[in-house]
Amino acid sequence: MRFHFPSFLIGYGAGVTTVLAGQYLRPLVVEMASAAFSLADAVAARIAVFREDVDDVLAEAKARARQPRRPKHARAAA
Amino acid sequence: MLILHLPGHTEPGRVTRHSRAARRLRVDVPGLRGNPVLARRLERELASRSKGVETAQADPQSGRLLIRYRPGASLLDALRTPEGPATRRRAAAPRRRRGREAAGGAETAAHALRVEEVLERLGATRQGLGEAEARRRLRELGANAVDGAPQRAPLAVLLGQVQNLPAALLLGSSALSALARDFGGSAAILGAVVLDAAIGYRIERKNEDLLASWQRLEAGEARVLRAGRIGAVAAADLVPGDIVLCRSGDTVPADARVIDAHRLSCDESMLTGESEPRPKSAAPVSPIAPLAERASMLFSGTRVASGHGRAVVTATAERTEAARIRGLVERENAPETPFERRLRRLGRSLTLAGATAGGVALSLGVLRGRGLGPTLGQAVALGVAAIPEGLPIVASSALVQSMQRMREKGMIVRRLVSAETLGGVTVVCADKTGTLTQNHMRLEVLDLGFGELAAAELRADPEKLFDDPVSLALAAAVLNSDVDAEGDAGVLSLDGSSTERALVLAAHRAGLDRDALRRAFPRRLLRERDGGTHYVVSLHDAPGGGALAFVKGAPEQVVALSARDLAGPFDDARRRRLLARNDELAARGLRVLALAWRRLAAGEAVDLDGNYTLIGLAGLRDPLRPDAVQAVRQAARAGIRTVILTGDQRATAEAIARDVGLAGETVDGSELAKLLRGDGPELRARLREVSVFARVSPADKAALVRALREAGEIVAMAGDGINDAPALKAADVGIAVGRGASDVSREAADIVLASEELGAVLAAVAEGRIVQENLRRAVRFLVTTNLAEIVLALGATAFARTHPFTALRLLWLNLLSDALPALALALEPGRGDELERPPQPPSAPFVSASDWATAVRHAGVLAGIGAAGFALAGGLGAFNALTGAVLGYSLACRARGGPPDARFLRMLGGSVALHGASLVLPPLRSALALPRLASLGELAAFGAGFAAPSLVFRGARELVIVRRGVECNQEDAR
Repeated sequence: MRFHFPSFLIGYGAGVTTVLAGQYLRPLVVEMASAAFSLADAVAARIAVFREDVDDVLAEAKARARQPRRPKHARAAA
Repeated sequence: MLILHLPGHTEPGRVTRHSRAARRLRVDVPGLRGNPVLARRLERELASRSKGVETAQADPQSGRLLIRYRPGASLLDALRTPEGPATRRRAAAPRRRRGREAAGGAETAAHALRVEEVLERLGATRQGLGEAEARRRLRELGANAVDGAPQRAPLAVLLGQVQNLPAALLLGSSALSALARDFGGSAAILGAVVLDAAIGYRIERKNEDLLASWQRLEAGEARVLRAGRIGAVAAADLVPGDIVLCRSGDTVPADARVIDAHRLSCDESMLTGESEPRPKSAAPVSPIAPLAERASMLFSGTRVASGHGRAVVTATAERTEAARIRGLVERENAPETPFERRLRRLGRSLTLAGATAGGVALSLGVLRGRGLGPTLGQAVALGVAAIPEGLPIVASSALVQSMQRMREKGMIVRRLVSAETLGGVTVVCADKTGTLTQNHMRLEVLDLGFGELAAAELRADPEKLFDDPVSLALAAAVLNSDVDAEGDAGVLSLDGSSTERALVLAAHRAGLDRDALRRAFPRRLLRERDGGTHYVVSLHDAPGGGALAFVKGAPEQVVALSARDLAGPFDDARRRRLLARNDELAARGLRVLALAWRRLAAGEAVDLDGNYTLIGLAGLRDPLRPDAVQAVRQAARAGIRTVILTGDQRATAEAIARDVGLAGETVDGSELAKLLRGDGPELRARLREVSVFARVSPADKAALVRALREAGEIVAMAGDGINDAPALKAADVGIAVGRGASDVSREAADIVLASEELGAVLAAVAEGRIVQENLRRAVRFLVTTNLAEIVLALGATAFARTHPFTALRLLWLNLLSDALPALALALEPGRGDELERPPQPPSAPFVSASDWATAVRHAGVLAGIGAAGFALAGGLGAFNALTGAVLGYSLACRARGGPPDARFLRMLGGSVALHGASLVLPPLRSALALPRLASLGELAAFGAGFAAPSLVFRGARELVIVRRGVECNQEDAR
């Protein structure tokens, strides 16, 4: 493989930039990553709540559908 | 809405759905989301402890619990409707409450309970907490510190860097470049904006971290009784149950219930808005009393205005009343400072210049029939050329550098731009106490009617108290004083007023045992000064029966109470002689107190208002600081007027002014009030003549500072007391001086100095002048070089077929070739003669009209050098010549002559190396669209450009110096 000086410079520069800028921009990166995690958690929570709500509705419907029906006159007397 | 108390969990769950048909309960549980441990515990507890529960499923993802139950489950009985807001509040924070109660917290209605009840609820005694218990409570409840305004979110800081006009213009230029299909240029301009934003972000974050760490350093101390011993405890380490000792001048460190009070009153204006101090006592008040009427409570952050007392801490940190109010205040934004305004105005002018130049270039291009692409490129290039992209970096770096330099010298800058404002100060107002004097009152002389006795000569004989006049005088001073003392015969630690401490210390040094005296003559009564009564009376049991009364206070009144002195009965001539002696001592700047006594036989009616025997006069003084005289002289040389503002007597203040060599009139409080009612020119003239303001109140000090500012002065107020706080706030730069500065004064100040000497204040002013001059010089340099680029670019558009600069090349010049030397100029160490010349006029902008004229002239020269390079060696020649000229010009702009220092050379060398890299590294060369170096002439253009400004501007400067015979600071780069 041929040694390509510009590619070497770009690679070297990228490495140095990462090392030098990384320590200064770390708080920003942490903040952005934590915001992303919070967002992901919030979305997962919403999905879980929605799933549970659907589950509740279906459970209620199922319970009502399978409840032994009382005779009309009994309900009226009650 | 229904709530459900869950077993094993402190906070009730909210029932979101209950289906009786399906026998299911869906419960929202606080704290469950993201907590799988709690989820498992709830499931376990419900399954084992609740009868009738079939299954319990807690989901940490949704934060809800599903309970399936059998018919008739006992769980249903636990379903409740919340009782109201109070119940909800209790429900929301039971854990914290329990924690506090376990630690003895009891701030609720503490003002309405008796002292013993409060102590019992707090688990404390009158002797204070034990150290181990205090540590335990501190661990449990946390530090007594209120977090300041929350730091700005990193994203907000980053966005703040690009929300300004120059960044908008650059972003617009980037978009235009993209439209002209110059994607490389567009990306580079965008990169410049990002680079500026990243550097600004880093500096701002670093500043915030630095200030946060300094705020921690600024925490004060409190005097606390723990396990029966008085000690100093960091205010942050206070816990509920601690017994704090307060005296006049203290800032209350936490909310506390008064246990005992002696003439105790607090200034609670910051909390309640009431300007008059409120008297405090241990008696409980109504449970529904509003904050301002809770006389049995001390509130954190308020100031003890008079007296002293003890109180038990009931609430700390964010549970205090002040923290609640502070939470509201901190949501307000700080106003824009003059420095920021000047910087914004400059940015606006330059943006306007860039936009105009771009418009002109566009018009010229169209008129000359060039294509839209190249014309648009020229317009973008001119827009880029006008903006000094390095300016925000340069300004912030200079201010931060000055902050760090000042920090090394014991000066803490609380507001970044204050360092710059300091440079323009024309008047320094100082409270004489501590700043010019040592702030330690000492007994200097005792006059008992047979000549002056120096304090060092005094010897007391405890066995002959009533036969030896010196012993009697010192015993009277000790018994009549309300001073708390700690320590043994070797080291005595005293608490009390400075005058009484001085007297007790003198007695101690003369050989009197204060404790033995107090035991031998137990005090029955102490009548303090009050209204028009300027003396203190104390009544003591005498060992052989009967009583002794001692008086200490203003000589005029004590002499009037006395019927005789130690030599015999008084007559009018003797009284007059005594009062004349008092005037003589006062005229020397001494604080004079008269001492008198009388015996009362057993069974004699207690009448304390006359028939005393005058013992003598005591003269006390707060000695001058060793450097005070020199500092006042240095201030005068620096064009800064020193003004003394003091609450002390006129004669004392005049004596101090005389001793330090301050010329000028003296005005006291009543005259000042009349003076401040006067109108403009007359008031200004009078303010210029007066150098001592005596007997002034805190409000007078603030009014005077405002009047001086309105008269066009830039005022620095140096002070350490709470009475200085309003003036510190009103001044352009408030400087809290000394490690002992009160918390209130430090909070009101812009700069906090470790030292309280006037010399330290002047050193801070010198630092401010360095920053101010460096910034002006760097800004003038950047404006000139940017103007040169505009002139060259416009000239080429008008007269040449080709253009010497692309937008990228100009960006390269502005960000690297210009910014590094500008930074070097902004960080210069100063010439050392900052205090040898007058300050800059207060209204001087960054770039004055004459500066603009000079900048245009110099820009013409620099552009001419670039044009010569363009004419002789084409685009590369112009690039080389202009870069060289800019670097050479930076040398001519330095603050001092002689060879540049190592930092300057490093930055200059960095610029040269970067320029070299742009010429030889193929990727950079191709990005900047620079041709390969073809001839030596192209390189020589750089050398010629570099040398030319030094020859032109330095030569001109030398000529000016020789012709005028003086070095003029303003002619640095002209």
